[in-house]
Amino acid sequence: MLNEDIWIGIEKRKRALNPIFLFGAGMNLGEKLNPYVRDILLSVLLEVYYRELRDDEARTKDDIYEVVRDILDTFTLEYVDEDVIRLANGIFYQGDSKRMDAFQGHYYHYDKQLFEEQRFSYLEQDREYTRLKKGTVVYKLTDESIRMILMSREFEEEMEMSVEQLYSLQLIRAGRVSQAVGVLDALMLRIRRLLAKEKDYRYELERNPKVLLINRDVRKESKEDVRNQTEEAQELYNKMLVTLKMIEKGDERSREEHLELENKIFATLKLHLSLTEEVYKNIALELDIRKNNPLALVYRKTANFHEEIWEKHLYKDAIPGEDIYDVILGPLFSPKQEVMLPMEWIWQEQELASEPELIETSIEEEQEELRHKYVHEVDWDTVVDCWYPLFKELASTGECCVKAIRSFDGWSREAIDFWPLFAQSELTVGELQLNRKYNDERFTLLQKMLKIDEAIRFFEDKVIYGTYEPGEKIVTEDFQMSAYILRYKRGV
Amino acid sequence: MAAEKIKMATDIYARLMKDKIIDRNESAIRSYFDDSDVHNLVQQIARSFGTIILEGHEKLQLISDGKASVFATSFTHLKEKYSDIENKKEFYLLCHILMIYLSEIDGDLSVKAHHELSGLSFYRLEELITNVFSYWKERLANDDDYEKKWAVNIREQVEFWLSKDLKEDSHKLSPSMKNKFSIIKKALNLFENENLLTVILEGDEHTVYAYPELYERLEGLFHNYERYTMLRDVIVEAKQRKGDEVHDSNQ
Repeated sequence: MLNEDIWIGIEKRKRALNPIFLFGAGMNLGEKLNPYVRDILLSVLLEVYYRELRDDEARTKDDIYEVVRDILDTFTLEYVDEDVIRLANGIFYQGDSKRMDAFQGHYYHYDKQLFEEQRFSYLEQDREYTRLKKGTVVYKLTDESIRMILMSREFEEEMEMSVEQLYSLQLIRAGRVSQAVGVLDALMLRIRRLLAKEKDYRYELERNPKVLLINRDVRKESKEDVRNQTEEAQELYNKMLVTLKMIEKGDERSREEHLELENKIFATLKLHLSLTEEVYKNIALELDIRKNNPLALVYRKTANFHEEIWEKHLYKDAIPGEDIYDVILGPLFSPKQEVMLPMEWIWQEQELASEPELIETSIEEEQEELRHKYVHEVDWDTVVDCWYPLFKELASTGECCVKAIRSFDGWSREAIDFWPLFAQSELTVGELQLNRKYNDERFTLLQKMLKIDEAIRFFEDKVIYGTYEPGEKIVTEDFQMSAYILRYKRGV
Repeated sequence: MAAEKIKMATDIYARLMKDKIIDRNESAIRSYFDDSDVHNLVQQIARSFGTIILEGHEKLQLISDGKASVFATSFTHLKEKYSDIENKKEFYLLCHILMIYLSEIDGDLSVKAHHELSGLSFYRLEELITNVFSYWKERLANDDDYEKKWAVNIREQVEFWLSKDLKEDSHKLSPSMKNKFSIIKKALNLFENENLLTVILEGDEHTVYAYPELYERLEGLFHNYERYTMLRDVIVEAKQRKGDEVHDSNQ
């Protein structure tokens, strides 16, 4: 007969023990290293823990390889590079590291009379420091591995925050200043983690308000915790400061220690306040969702790509039409405007407003912004062919207009594009140089024309400007545009 | 008043066109959220150009509405570039890889949170793709009609993928059709160039990390009943069409 008592809390016990049981398990690094695998990994974990504690972000995978190497050197163990990678990977993943599997333990669920699975990791991404866009992923300890480290600390279990504060106070009273600093360090880390959790929670809450309904009990507990703690915590920090002031300072060294501790208390106090603030913000957000957006909380089965489209149809049954690729993948991409239609036309021909002068005001600004978009390869031969006769006309008659062009056959898009380009702002022409590289394509056009005809120098010291006949439109099969007119005037 | 609002709306659309992805909190787009007239105007402009404005939790994104769009995208560019018969199969292979990747990172909240934090290694992704192709290969072997259900030459594609080597010996990873890793990289490059994900070399593993922007696009496009029914109808209709063809040819 078994003692019934063994089943009390066995799930929790085993869940807390699994990370220890599986730590460094199943690794084979040869006779020389095998006995020390756990010593190495524990040191690695501690190093990452202290780096986190000290705000050191050197916690990427590559940094961790380096840590492993340093520790192996410290232990004066013989190793090859491959051992380093395998050891480090052994702290990240179970089994083949390429699969990136989390660790998997099990525990006996007494009520259900069966074994259940527990998945955990020792290290996880530290969102606060990770900069994906710069290509760095920073890691930190998970709750499981923190618990492991705390278990091995001098005071057995993870304490209440208030206990930890009290403990620091005790240490200060006893004059054990440096120890108090250590405890406050740990406390700060705890607060920082809670803070990160609150931030993550808000991130989730904003993306999916339904998380409000999940883990409600856990949330409630931690909210209560923080709420109850706030006032008490302030008081305790104050007590620490007062006590610190009262004890003898003594020599130079202990004065420094005092100062350090004082700073630490202030820093912890500040951090604690920001945690409180964060929690209250989240509570406010929760209330806001409940009050103003209760629909977001109703459980609606929403479709998703994975199950409804991929699993049910495409994966199972084949992809029966080419258009399916377009409707599924096409919208994941943003439009590119430099091809197909120049923006100017679109703005000018926008039918949104009936009063044309309204659009004008907006065009001016759009065009300014879009000007630098015109950095594409231009087929200059075509452009010059189209424009050279027009400039001759402009020089002789004083104006040239779109309306006079009978056919746009032979006009490239770029060539047409110069109409709105000239219309958008005045072009003050100085001395034209044949070998200069101009940023403004209108100068390049003049330059190209100058190469075939010196008479183009006529436009030097002139201002070329565009206007258009209101209400008139040029409509062809391919495009619509305003009836532009180019003129010139003498420059100042 | 109307003029002012039209100007605001066009300004906002032009800004979206320029940057594609804008932080929700930016002051330049405030009136989009604060003024329902402006909001409607911008939406209307977006619709008439065949574009969609996604209102994510963090970002406002402008995306193309597939075939309805008047604008090209890097996807349509690629399709054009790969339009001849020989290249077309490569194009569809890249499409399949993207779909497999999307289906892996999409799903319920916990799946998403997991991938967001730990990324997806190339090894794992390759395994997923090979599993899919192996499944299709099995279907091809056991069901004579299966091949005919496809719009593309799936048999050829399955053979092509399964015959490729895994990767080059070095850590170098460049997009090409040479081996499985480089093909995956080529497919993912499409999203990478859109600033939707990044591939990071950690230690000796290449890992794909999707940006929140990609999740927002997935959510806006697929976790939405209206669009879902549209997609389902397109698929079911195409199935029907293909079925009829097969039926006719069998007779």
